[in-house]
Amino acid sequence: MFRKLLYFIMALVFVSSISVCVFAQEEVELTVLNYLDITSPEAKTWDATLEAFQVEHPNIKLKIENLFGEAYHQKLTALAAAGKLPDVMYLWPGGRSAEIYKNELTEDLYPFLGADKDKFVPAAVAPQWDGKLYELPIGITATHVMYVNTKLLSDLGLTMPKTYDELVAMVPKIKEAGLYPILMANKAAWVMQSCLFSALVGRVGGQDWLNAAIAGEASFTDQEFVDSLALVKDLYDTGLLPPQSIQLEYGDSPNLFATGRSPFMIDGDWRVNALIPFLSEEEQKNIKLTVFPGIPGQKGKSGSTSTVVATGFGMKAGLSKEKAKVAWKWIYFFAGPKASEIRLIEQGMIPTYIMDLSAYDIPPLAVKRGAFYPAHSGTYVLDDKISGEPINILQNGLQELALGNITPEKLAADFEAAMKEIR
Amino acid sequence: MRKLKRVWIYIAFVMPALFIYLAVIAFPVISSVGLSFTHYNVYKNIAKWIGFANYIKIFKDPVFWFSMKNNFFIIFVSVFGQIPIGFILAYIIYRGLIKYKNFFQAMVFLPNVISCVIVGILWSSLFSPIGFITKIIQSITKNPDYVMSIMTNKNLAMLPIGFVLLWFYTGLYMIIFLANLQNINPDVIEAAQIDGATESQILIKIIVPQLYGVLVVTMILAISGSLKSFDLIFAMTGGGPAYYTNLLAIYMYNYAFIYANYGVGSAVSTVMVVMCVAIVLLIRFIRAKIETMGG
Repeated sequence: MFRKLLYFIMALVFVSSISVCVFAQEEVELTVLNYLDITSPEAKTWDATLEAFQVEHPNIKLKIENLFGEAYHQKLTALAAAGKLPDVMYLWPGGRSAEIYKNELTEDLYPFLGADKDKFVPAAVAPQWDGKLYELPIGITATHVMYVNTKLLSDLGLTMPKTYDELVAMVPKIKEAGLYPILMANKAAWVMQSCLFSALVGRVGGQDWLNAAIAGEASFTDQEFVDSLALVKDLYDTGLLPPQSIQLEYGDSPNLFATGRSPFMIDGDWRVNALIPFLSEEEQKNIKLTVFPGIPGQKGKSGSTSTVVATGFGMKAGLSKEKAKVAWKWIYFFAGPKASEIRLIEQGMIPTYIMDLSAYDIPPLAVKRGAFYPAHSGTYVLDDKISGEPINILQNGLQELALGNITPEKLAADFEAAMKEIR
Repeated sequence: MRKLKRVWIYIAFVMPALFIYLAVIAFPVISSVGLSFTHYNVYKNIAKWIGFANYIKIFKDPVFWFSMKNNFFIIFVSVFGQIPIGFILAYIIYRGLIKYKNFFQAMVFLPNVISCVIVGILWSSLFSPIGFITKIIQSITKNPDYVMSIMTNKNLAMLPIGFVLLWFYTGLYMIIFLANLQNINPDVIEAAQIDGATESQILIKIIVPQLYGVLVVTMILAISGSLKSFDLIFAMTGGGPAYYTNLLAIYMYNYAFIYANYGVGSAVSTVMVVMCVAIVLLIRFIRAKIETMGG
């Protein structure tokens, strides 16, 4: 009798211990390749995001590798070649990630997003490549912003220019004061293409012509493109962009602008993060975010900038159903309300997740950044639509144009020839 | 039998190093040459044979030839700048022609211990429009708008880089020559002095002939280093503005890692290896001729 009772108790204990294992949540590991400079202020935001994720998903273990710059792209390429891509990885909507999409190495996120699509700003969840969504963007980036120091401008006795000619007319007075008319750090070749030229092409040529040119139905030797290049040359010839511009390191411009070296700075919207530490709240109120003034004969919309969706995470193609669900949890979290709130507070970054921002105490310049997007329509950023050799020929050519070593017509011809090879 | 056993023992000792050499150096070089004849999709690891198309592409590209011209400029600076200056400094220190020679020896060699990338960033900042050198020239010329236009001149942009290369690498050659000068028997020099030889006669007729071997080795080092030069210039200018300070290694880097075109990148690296081997063979030929004539 006693032995029977003992066997019964042992069986009970055995069954209950198995059931505990069955009903307890399994720990799942997710490999993550992240794009992060761990010495930058963004690292603090990343740590806070991770902590918030672990609270919400304690059973998901993230195995993270942080890399930055060229090291990131080379590692991703090497992993792709070896067939060992991580489960989730940091991706661009086009540009450097285009080859990953062309080779179908990542999963379309639309089936995972489903009805949650409506929770995001429409532009953010628009198709990125071949009608698919490959990464869930955490923001919209305006690569062209004209920052104006309104106090400095009024001290010089000048007002906001409405047209290009008005801007040119300001050059002598600004130079007399020993300042740069427009501050733009063009030593790195990508800056002119991304932060000004893309917007100028959209303005001068119009969106219809630009769509046709990218599709190969129009040519980059057309007058629209040649005129856009001629405008860049004119910026240097008139002195709006001084000779120093092409030798200025990209990292120097926020400091120079914040210390009143120029009334105008042309750069991307991300520069707000770099300017905020240099400016008091009062000084931030004097900075206006606008775009390049009206260009005579422009076919594109007035007041337009160049925009591209920001980066975000995507997932490797061919994951198992269970793994893919876990990967989606991370991808959605990173662009979702909690992580967006952290980025908004720490960096002033405006989220693509639709949420009420009025409750948050964010720096004045970040508020202006948020107000910038709805106020200005966007054309393409060329390096999002065109990658590889052609964009390099264009970027190098823009520098040669600045130095007077190439004509707009020759550059247009070289660019069109390079585009023909890849079409 | 014993001889066979000895051979196996030799092989056993050599194999580890040989294996590492084959795996890390020989195999990548050979596969790189093979890749240069293909269109290689790195994302899918698929190589498609295209013959000489990659070579034709680079030989038709003016940027390739401009980059090669820049590499030859660096070879010129190394062979006719770093080596002679390094030798002269080593000679001055060896013959005790100045006071505090240990201090000067350390100062000349010091740049070599700093990371290449840091040196590139340092000099880039110094030459910048808001940098120290520009400020000095602005205050001397009383022109607040002065900017160093040489940095953006298509034909002269390499000159400031040549100056930095001289500053950075001369110390290395000085140390090499100094070490070899110290191996020369001082009795020979003393005997020459007793016989009434002047300083220049000692230099030309006694010291230099004993250093022919070292001169050839340093020239080979200088030329191979100049052809694969990358990090300092990449940190200083990135090959810019446009392609004015581009080098073959930067050109190769752009094709392989930015455009993911490994076939073209491999073609460039193969051309660099062939050039290096050709120049080294030429130097050895010239040396053999000089030694034959001298004998």
